[in-house]
Amino acid sequence: MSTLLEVRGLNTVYRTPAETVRAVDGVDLTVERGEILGVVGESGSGKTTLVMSLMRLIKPPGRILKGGEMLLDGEDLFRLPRSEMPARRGQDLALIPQSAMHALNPVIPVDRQIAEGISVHQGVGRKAAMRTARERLREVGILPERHNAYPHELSGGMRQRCIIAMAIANEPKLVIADEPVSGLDVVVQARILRLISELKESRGLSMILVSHDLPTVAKICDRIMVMYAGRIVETGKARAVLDKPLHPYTRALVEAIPQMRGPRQPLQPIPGDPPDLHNLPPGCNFRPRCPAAFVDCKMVDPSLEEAERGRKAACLLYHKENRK
Amino acid sequence: MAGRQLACFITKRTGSRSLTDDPQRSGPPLLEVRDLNVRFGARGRSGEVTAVRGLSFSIAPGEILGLIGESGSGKTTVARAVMGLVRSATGSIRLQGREMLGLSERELRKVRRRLHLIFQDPYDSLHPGMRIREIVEEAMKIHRTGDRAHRTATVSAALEDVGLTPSSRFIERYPYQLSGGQRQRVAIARAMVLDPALVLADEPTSMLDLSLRSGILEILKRHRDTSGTGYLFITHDLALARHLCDRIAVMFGGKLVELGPTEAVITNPLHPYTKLLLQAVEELAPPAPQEPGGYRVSYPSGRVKECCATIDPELQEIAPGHYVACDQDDRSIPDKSLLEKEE
Amino acid sequence: MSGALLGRIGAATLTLFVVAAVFAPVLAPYDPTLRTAQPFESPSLAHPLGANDVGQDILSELIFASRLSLTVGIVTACLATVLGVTVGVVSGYLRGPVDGVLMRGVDVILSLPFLPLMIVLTAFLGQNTTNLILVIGLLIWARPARLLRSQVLSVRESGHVQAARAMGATHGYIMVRHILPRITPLVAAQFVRTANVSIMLEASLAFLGLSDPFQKSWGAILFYANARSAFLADAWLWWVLPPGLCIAAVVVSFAFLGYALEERVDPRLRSTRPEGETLKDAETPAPVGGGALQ
Repeated sequence: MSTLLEVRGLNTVYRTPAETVRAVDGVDLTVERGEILGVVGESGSGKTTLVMSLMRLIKPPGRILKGGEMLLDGEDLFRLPRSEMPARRGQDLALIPQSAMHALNPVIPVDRQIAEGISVHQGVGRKAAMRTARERLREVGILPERHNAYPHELSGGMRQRCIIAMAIANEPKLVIADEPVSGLDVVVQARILRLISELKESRGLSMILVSHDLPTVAKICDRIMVMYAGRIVETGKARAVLDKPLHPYTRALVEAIPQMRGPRQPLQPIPGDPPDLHNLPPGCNFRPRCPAAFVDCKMVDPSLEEAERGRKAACLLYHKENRK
Repeated sequence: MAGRQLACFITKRTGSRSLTDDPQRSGPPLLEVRDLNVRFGARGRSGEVTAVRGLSFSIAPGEILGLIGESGSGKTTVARAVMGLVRSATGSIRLQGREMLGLSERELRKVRRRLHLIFQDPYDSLHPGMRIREIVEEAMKIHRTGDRAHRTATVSAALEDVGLTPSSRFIERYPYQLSGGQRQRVAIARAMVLDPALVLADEPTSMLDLSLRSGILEILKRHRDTSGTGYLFITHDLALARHLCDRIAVMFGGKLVELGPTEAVITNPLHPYTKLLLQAVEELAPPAPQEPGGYRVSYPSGRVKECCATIDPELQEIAPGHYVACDQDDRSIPDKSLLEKEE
Repeated sequence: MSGALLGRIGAATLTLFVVAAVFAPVLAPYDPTLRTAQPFESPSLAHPLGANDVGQDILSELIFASRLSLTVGIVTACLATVLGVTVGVVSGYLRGPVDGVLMRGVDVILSLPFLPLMIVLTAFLGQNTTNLILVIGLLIWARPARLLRSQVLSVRESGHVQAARAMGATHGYIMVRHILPRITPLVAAQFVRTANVSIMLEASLAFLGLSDPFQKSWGAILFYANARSAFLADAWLWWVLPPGLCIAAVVVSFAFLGYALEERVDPRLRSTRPEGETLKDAETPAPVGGGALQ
C-alpha cells in the first residue's frame, strides 16, 4: 500500500471578537490507497469541522491556520488557489454529506443529477455522461427502472445510494463521508455499510468515514482515529481499538456500547458533560471525565505518541516515562 | 374471515389468559391494548393510510416493554394513540382497567396525569422561553397539585434523581444553556414529577451521543425499579432494547410480528423480520435491493411465502409468552441463508 | 445601516413626538383654539409657522395635533393587534372548521377596498375619533392575523406543544403559555406596522375632511390648508409642509422600529440548538462530486 493522503498540522479555528475556538487542533492523519479510515467523535469533537477543512469548505469566521499541509498524491491542496478548489472537489475529493434527505435536488431525476456532474468535470457529452451515471447507479444497487426517478420517489436508503453514486461518479481519489448512515434504519444502515465495503473491494476506494457511532464505524473501517475536543486521542487498527481500547475515553466509549451477546451488564455511562470547546480545562481535555486521571494530567497536555506497535494514544498513561 | 377464526382459536387454546400477557406476571395489566387500528386520511379515499393494524399487547405494572421497528412501522403512532392524541384510533386501550378510547377531551386530560410521553428530540420538546424549574413543574401546575413550596421541592428532587446535581445549578437556567444530554434528563425529570403509572418513551436516546445514551438508560431503569412505573420504550435499536426491556415487541408495517421475553426474542428470533434486524445489528445485512412496501425482498428468494403478501397472519404462541405472526411451517430458516446475496 | 441603529433612530424620533404630545400645553406657545394672530399671517419670530385662515398659531396647532395623530395610531394598533393575535392564534392552533371560518373572514376583509369603505363608514357612523379608531382597527387586523397564523402553524408542531398536550394541558393554557411567547417578537413587529398603517389611514381620512371637526390632527390641518387653497399660495411652505413632514417622520420612525424588531428576535427564542457541531442538524452542504460545480 502506498500513502494517498497525508495531512500534517491541521488547525482550524473559529475567531470571533470575543474568543478563538480551536475546533480542529493539530491533527495529523494519513490514508493509504484502498483504505477506509474511520474518524470517531461525539458532539463537539470537531469531526465535522475536520471534514469541512479537508474539503476546504470552511467559511468565516472559521479559518484554516497556515502551516498545515494536505498532501493528496504528493500535491499540497492547501497551497492551491481557492479558485482551483471547485474543480478539485468531485474529481480529487468527493464528499458524502450528512443528510441524504436534503442533498439531492428534488426537481431533477437522479440520473440526470449525476450526469450533470460528470459532464462538467470530465467534459464529456450529454449522452456519454448519462451512460456513466447509469452505470454508477447500477453499481450502487439501484435497479435500472428506478434510474430516472425523482428523489422523493426513492426511500431513504436508495437516496443514500444515489449520493454514493454521485460521490464516485468522477472516480475521485478520496471520498469523505460525513455520518453516511445516521438517521437511517438499522437494516438500511447495515446495507449501506456493506455497499461501501463492497465498493472498497471492487474499486479500491479510499475513504475517510466520519461518525459518532463507534461500533458501526468499526465494522467496515481498516483503521480508526478517535477525536475528542478537536484532538486525536487514539489511533489504531479498527479491531484492535475495539478489542483493547487504550485511551480512557475510548475505553469508556466501548464500555458504553450495549452488547447483543453475553450477560446483560449495567452500562457504564461516561461521567460529566461533553467537552465545551469554548471552555476547555487546563492539561488534558478529558481529565474532568477521566476515571484514570492523576496529578500530572492537570498540568500536562498529552501529545499523541506511540503506545504499542501501530497504536497511538494521547494519554500520559502511555507516555514512555510512565510506562513500566 | 380466516384471520378472525384463527384469533378465536388462539384465545381458546391459550385458555382464560389473554392473548399477549406475560405468563410470568399475575394481576391485572397496567395497560391493555386490544386490536388497535389507526388510519390517517379520509376514510375510503385514496389518501387513506393504515398506520397501525390490529395491534394487541399489554404492559404489567413495573414492566418495560420494548417496541421495536423501523421508521414508518407505526411505533410512534402507537404511543400517540395511547396518549389519546390520535382521533382516528379504533379498538380498545385500557389503562388500569379503564377504557381510554372514546373519552372526551376533558376526561382525557385527567387521564393524562397518569401517563407521560418522553419525546425523541430534546431540542424541540422543551419550551425555549421557560426556565428548567417551570418546565419540570408544568405538569403539576396543569393538574393543580401541591403548593409552590411542594412543587419546588419536587422539582429539585426530580432533577437530582436524573443526575442534574446540584439542582440549584440548573433550576433557573434556560434550555439553551444545557447540552443535549442534560436536556433529555430534564425531559425525564418532567416525566417523574407526577409519578405516572405509565411512561411512554419515544426513542429517547436516538439523538444523543453514544457516551450519553447509557446514562439515560440507567436513569430510566432506576426509575422503574424505585417507582414501579411501567414503560413502553420505543426504539429501533435492538441492542438498547435488549439492555433495558423485560419484553420485546417487534412491529413491521403497522403490525406486531413478534412478541416475547427479551432473551427469548434475541436468542431465538422467530419472525424473519426479527432475524433480519438482529443480523443488521450483529453483522452486515444482506445487500438486497430494496423494494418499497415490503420485507419480502429481504427473504431469501426461494423462501418468500405467498402468505405474507396476501393474508395477514395472526400472532400465535410458539413458546410460553413468545408470539409470532408468521404462517410459515418452516420458521427455522437457517440464519446463514438470510445473509446470502439476492440477485 | 444596521437594524439596531435604525431602531435607535426610530425610537428616538418617536420619543420626541410622544414628549411633544404629552407636554403640548407647556411646549405650545399659544392656545391653538384662540385667535392670536392675523389670518394668513406669514411666519415671524412670534409665530414661527405663521397663522391659519382664522388667525390661529400653526406651530401650536401642529403640537396639539400630534396628540390626536399618535393616540389614533397607537390605540388603533392595540385594537388591531389584539384582534389579529386572537384570531391568528386561535385559527392556527385549533385549525379545522374554526380556522376555515376565521380565515375566510380574513379573506373577505383583505379583499375590501379600504379607503372607499372607510369613507362610507365614517360618513355613516358619524365623524368622531372613537368611530375613526373602530373603523380603522376593524379593517387592518386581518393582515397581522394571517401572518401570525402561519407562524402559529409551525410552532404548534414543535415538541414542547405536543408535550404540553400530552401532559393534559388545556387548549387555552397551551395557547397562552406555549404559543404566545414564541410569537411575541412577530407580534411586536406587527404592532409597529399596524400603528404605522393606522396613522397613515387617519391622515388620509382627516385630509378628506372625515375627522372629528372639534379635534385637529395633522391630517385635519392639511384638510383645512387644502380647503383654503394654501397649496396654491406661498403658505404651503409653513402650513402644508410641517404637518406633512410630521406624518412622514412618525411613519418612517415606526418603520425603522419595526425593521429593528423584526431583525432582533428575543435571544431566548432564537434557534435553541447549540451552534456548530451537533449530531444530526449540522449544516448540510450539497454533495460534492457528481453535482454541478459549487
